[in-house]
Amino acid sequence: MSLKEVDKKLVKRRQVYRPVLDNPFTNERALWPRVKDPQFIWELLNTTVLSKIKGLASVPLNEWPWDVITDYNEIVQLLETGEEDVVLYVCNRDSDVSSVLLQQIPLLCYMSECSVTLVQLPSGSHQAIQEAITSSPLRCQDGLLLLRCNDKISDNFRDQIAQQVDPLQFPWLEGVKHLPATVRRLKTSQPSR
Amino acid sequence: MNREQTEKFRDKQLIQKYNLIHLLPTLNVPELSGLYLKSFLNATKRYQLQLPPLINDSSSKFCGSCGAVRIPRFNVEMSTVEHNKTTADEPPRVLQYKCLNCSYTETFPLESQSRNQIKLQNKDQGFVATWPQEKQQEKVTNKVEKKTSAKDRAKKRKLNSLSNLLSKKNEEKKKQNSPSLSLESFMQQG
Repeated sequence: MSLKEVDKKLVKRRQVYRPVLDNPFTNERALWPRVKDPQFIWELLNTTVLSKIKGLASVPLNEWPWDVITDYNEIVQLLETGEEDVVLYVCNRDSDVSSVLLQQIPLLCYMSECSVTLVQLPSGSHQAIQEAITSSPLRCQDGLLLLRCNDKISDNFRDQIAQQVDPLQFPWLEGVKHLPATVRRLKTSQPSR
Repeated sequence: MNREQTEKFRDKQLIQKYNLIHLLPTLNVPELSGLYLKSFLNATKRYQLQLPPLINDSSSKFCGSCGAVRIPRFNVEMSTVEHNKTTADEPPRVLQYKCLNCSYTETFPLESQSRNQIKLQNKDQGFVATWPQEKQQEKVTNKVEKKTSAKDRAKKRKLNSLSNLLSKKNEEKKKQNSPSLSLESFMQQG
């Protein structure tokens, strides 16, 4: 076998089989919902939250004008157990954020009891967020930023974001969502006759 | 079947198998998930297909032990774990997926390149300006490598080739044999 033939074979094998992803049932092509105007979303986040964090360095976290969470474990716990409105920003286009870590996030948002608005940020935003929160006790290692939509946040802000982002759609999880999560079996006995 | 038809058949078959894997959690029979996943993977192997990294990479999408599709809040517990004391082999931060079907725990090393940690490391070691020097060295090595370019090597090869060596030798011989008119040779002969 010549070298050229080996090369050809390698190229053939390296071609990724895409039709699996184009499947409407699993809908993995649209794992991350489309954002209509990414620039607008980024500026909204930047002006309302990030630019003000710098001035809040000496203020304790619970007195901030909004509730922000950046830790992965805390976010997962909130989405698993909580029932509230949240906006979750994800820097999924930055190479320094682990893709394995983010892979399950859309599914978690879909399965969560919270009504989550999942927003993907443009590339380069991870570093911008890290720079904005250097003086605060928060650390943004995983490219996640969760904003709780409680009384502190105006409805207008939430609506504007919700209009820009498509809702999540995973038809295959529709049935799973209504199943009880942990199966428990009760040990019983029948009296002998 | 012609080529188009076979491809259509292949796509249909694979998507059907892939959908079945995803349908299983709804049916609540996690025991079958390994069988269905294996059937799908075998089919892709038979057609010599390279799956997208989203599906293929490690066992982030499917459990590495029982093969169930991971669904947060349903059959997987996700958390990140930080080790304070780290050895050389162990990464400082790890992502943990615990499958609730088979209670198998999978870990994925996370490269934490956060600037805070880098800053902390710098504080411990004190500031050492090492990398600009390395850069210079790299430049030098690049230049050296560039000097021996393909053209130069080809020239060298030509010079060292057998025919070239032979012709060189012949020329020397001719020089020795040919009567020269120079004063030196005349003196030597004399």
